[in-house]
Amino acid sequence: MSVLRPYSKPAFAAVLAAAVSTAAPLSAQDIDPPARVVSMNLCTDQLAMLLAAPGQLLSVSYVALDPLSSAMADEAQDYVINHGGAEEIYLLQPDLVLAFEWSDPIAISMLRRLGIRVEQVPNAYSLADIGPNIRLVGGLLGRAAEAEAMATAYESRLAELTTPDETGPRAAFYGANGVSSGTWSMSHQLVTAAGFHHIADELQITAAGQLPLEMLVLADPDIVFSPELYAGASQAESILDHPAYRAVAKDAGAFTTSATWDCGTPLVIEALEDLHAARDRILQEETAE
Amino acid sequence: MSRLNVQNLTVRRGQCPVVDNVSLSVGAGEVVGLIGPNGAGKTTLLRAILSLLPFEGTSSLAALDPRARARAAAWMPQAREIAWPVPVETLVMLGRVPHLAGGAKPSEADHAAVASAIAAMHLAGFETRPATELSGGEQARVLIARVLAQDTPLILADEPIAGLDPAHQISTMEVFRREAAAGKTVIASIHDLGLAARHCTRLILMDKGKLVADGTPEEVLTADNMARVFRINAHLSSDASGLLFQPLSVLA
Amino acid sequence: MSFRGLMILLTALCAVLFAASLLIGPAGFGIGESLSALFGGQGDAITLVMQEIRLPRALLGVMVGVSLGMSGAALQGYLRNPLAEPGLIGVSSSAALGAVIAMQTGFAKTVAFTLPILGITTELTMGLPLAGLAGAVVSVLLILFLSGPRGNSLTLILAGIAISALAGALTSLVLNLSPNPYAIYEIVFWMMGSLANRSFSHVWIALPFMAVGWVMLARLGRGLDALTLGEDAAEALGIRLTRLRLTMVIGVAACVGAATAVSGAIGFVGLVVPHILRPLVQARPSALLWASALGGAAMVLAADVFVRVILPEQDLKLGVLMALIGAPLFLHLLYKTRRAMA
Repeated sequence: MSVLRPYSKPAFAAVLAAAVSTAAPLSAQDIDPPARVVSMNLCTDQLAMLLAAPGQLLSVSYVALDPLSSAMADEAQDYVINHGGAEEIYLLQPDLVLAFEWSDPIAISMLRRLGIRVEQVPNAYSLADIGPNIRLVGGLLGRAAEAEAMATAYESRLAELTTPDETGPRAAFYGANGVSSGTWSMSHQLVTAAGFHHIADELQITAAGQLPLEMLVLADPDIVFSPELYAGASQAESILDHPAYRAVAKDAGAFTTSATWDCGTPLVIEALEDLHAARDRILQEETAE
Repeated sequence: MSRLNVQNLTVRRGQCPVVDNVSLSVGAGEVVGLIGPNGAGKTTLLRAILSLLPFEGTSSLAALDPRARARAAAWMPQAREIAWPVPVETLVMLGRVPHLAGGAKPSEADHAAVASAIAAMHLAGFETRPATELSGGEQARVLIARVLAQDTPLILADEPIAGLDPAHQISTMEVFRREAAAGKTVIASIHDLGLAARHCTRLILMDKGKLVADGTPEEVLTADNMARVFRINAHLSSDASGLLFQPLSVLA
Repeated sequence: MSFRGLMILLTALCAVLFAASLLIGPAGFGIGESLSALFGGQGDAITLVMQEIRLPRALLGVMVGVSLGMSGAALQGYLRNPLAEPGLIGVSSSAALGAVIAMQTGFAKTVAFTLPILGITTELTMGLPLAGLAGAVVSVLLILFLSGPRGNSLTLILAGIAISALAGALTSLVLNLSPNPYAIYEIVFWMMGSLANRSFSHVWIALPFMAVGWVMLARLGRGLDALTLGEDAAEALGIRLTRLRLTMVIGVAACVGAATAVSGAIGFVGLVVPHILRPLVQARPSALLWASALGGAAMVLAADVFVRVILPEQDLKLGVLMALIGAPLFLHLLYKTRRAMA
């Protein structure tokens, strides 16, 4: 039996932070960079915190504080917290609001009517979408050079870590209510890039949805990825206490996914690094047997 | 021999006595008609005698434990409730509940008691019909049959013949008399004073919670009592067939 | 059909549906393969699926069905009203509220016992069914208090609507206040009920409460029969009504409380089953109690197999299916009793 956990190594975030801090505070080539930036979505929060010049980012969303969802919960404590409402954001008097593709359209249109500049960042559907998103947010913040450095660092590390292997260890996702990821998900891209075979491929699951527990048992995965449990009980999460699930997770090795999996930011590199370590360990155990 | 002994029975609703210090004693072989205007306290008296509501004073029935009481006295409430469409025979068999040990199947004796009660109430042929599908009068007869099947020394009935056709009113009173002749005792509240006069061996007249007269029909149905309690003028006579009583007019 | 014949038929039906519940699932195994895995124990995947996933689910189907069927028959017999049903009059939703509060306060993980079950030392926490029972007791007492002993349809249904609405709102409130983002999604589970992903621990925590409830309700038969004639007549037949009422309240609360704690609030079982079976037992409340126990088991097993067959990929809630069957019947009953309600 093995319980694999993400182990700590020099965080890629530190590499990224270094890439940004080597540059000058506000690049000279930008004529009028925004000075009061508010982000209203977890993923734009993290891109903005990674890229903004000191003092440039004013506020991030409340979700950024939740360590189970946000990979930068500690950093988020330095900012004013908003809840995505048009009124509270307007009162912050921002000159740029960063929203996500699917952020509340009513709040966005109201802010625009009030004359606030709102820019929507598209969803990253794949690992390849993350570089362009970094450059986009960097450009909006007037931090194009820093963004270019960060995107380049991300892309080269991504290339190193992308080692697909159809015959690799069998991976499955299982979370609250028996929901599993499909082949359209970022999670699928992460595990396949790291050289796992995702059982969603053979079960022909595309969109995320419920996977009956007995199908998980029969798929006989080598590793099961499940999210961290939230505080406060839910019947939905009690499926992870089911004896049949525990038996599978015990045989296969359970891997608790972290907040770095949740957003298309360069921090997914950390998730990839953890995945490679987990894969190496599974292969070592197999050869040891 | 006394079948029922009631001493100083009082029932209060709030402060107001609904039954006020009633004492009576009933022996074997009597058919007692309990008469009185609406609200006189007849139903309350009968229910108190059976310990179905709290009261002051004593009732010999109330002193028994529930099972023994159910073997000593059968009760037919005024509300003719039949909640479910059970067959007539099954409903009448409910009268045998006090005689059956928990979970026991009905014996030959139980079936015989049910059959004779059904016959007595002219319900032959109705045995398998759902009781709720019968007419109101037929349902009343089924419920009387249930009381007869209980086969108790004492029968208490609250307006048992209300709503029956004349033939069945008379035959029901005759059944009561037959039961009494066999040594049982019947106490029934009755509004039809003519039937009460002819068929009861004894009448008890109540007014405003008090027992105001107790005796043979001739002793109770006096012009004075009728005027004072019912505020009516009535004709009372007798011939070879028995007493004839007919209310005539309302007094001003 | 005689009562004995009916009971044999219902038992056979339950057995067939129990087998179907074991044999039907998203992973299609052969019958021989399934049965050898069920009774064998090689520890392979099929054994795990049969013994730890399908068997407890089928057992819970029987237990929940018996509990709900009997509770419906008992409530109807006591209130002399065919509309009385644990789901409709708010007993199930109150039990769900109790269970949700227990989960959110951590009470669910208390009252722990460590018992050797089938040779395996198992830790069981009884907080959840206890809280479900407490919720159910409160609501049954409220119903008796509000609707009165005679169970007039109008007051019964109005009291039920009020209690259901309050319990449902409080359940939503408790789940809304939970720090757990998944908690809010389970309003549907607690309102509609499901047997999906239940395990043997659910069987063990529910069974003792249900067993007590079944024994209590089984003792009511004679009293419920006598109540056909009304309270006064029943009491004069030697039935101790106070004791009967107490037994009924505890029995129904134990059954519905435990069933709801492990499967959510599954409505209409206690309405549909007695309604179908009443003519077959010639409306005798005592016979209906037993017939509804088996009928309830058959109904829940059938519904649980059905949700797996029609929408195997979606988690169709059992209560949704029961409501689709039960609500039209309820409307029909309302239509029939509308005169009594006027």
